[in-house]
Amino acid sequence: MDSNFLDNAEFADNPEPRCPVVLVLDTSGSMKGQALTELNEGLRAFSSALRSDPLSSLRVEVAVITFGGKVRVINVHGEVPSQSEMATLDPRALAVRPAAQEIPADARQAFVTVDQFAPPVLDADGGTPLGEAVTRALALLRERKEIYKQNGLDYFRPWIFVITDGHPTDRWETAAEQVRQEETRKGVQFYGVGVEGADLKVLARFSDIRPPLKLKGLAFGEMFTWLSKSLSAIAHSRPGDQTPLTIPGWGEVDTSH
Amino acid sequence: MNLSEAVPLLPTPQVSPWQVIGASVQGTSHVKHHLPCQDAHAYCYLPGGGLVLVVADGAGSAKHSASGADEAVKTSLATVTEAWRVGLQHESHPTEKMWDALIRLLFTRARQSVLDLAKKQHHWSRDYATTLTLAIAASGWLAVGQIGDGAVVVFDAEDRFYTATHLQKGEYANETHFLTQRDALKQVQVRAEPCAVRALAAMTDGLIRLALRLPSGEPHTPFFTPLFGFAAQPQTSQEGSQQLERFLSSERVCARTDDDKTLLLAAYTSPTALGKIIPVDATQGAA
Repeated sequence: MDSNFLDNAEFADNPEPRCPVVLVLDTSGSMKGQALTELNEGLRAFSSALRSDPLSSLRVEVAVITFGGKVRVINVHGEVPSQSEMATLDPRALAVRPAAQEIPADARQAFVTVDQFAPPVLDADGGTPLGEAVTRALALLRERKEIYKQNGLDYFRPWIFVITDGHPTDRWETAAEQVRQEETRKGVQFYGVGVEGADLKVLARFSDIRPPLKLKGLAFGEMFTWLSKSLSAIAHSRPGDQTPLTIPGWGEVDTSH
Repeated sequence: MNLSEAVPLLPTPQVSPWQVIGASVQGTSHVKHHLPCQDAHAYCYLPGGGLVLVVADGAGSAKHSASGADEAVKTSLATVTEAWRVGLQHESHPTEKMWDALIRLLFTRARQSVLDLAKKQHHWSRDYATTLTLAIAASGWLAVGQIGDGAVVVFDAEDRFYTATHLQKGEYANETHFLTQRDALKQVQVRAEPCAVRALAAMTDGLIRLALRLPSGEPHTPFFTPLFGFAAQPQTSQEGSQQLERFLSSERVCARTDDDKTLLLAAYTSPTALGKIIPVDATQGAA
């Protein structure tokens, strides 16, 4: 008997299916201080948690949109230092991180897979244009799906994950309606998280399927760890699998409205 | 655990020109989440040199999908042997219509038996959700039926490799059709055509990304050539299946897929058959 045959079997080199998520983050003036520090820390926890899972780091694609004064698509492409650069790099240089850099709202540039994701360091200022930010997220995801289709890539249902601590300062009703419709068509899954002071009644209008969650204190770290686990579960999911709908420990459903 | 041990209904492989090996192996993610292997497979020989391969993939989150897959596989095999005995066997010139009708009968019966099983055990039928992929090579025909995201790959007498059906999936990577869904019988894909089959493979979706080129779904020939060569070499089905199982459990395979995976390989080995079976590399074949 000869088992060499089996050793000689070569595998097709297919690209991994993608699981896109847009983080829509409130960077209005009221987030300044401890909340923003915790949010930035949380983004780093998110990145390292997803990276620890090899399949997720190739499948989950992240884009970041901030809304503070204006709506910005943030550059999340990590520049990986070369081997020689690493050798000469002063470790202290890594601690000084450049401020978040705005890039054009283009789905080709806005998303990166987790293995290349560099968590941005966000600053806070200005009003809360939530509506415009969500509309932008929807448009990016629509474009991103087109890119997947053109390139023959499989993909999972995209996520929009919104975190806010205030009341929108723009007209958000149309955006909410668009998300609700898209979610009914199974085109997207919307998750709203309110930090202390957020208008949860408004956030509730963005989804008929799941109520917004109120973040307990500033448990951003816990929240982002949960998010990374949930996205990992999706990225590993197979036909027939369902997303678990348990209420995570970091949040609570507000039943007052 | 694979519930459907592959038991040839004719226990004398010598009378069949086919050599079949097969294995279902639990995915690493199933190990991690304490899920059983929810794939099932089986095959049988038909009088007159025919062959039937069946594979099924129970849905990941459906509680009793391993039983669903097992039931679907068993029922379709039982039905095909019965239908063969009373009908098609005596047909000197089977037509595409007959094959089409046979395949649809098999899926109807398989579906009904899974629904009955769910009812008997007082569970929702969706808890038994499974895909079903079936291939019959007999009387100079190849007939394939499929619901869900399995695949059948053919190597024919004209040295052509091809995938017998279109890949069946929804918009999203984790969506497909199941035998238990309401409109399942409408979703069954059937293909029947005259074909001199030299080798045949049936697999569940755990292997698709390794075995086919996406998105076209064409077979990745460097994957199948050695495997068909392996299936054709002299060995008992049991020896071959054990080796195949080791291959499917190997690190090399598991690094690329964490799902349950099933592979059934069949090679036409009759000396009077279609000439040399497989493009075997002589140096390997002699070892």
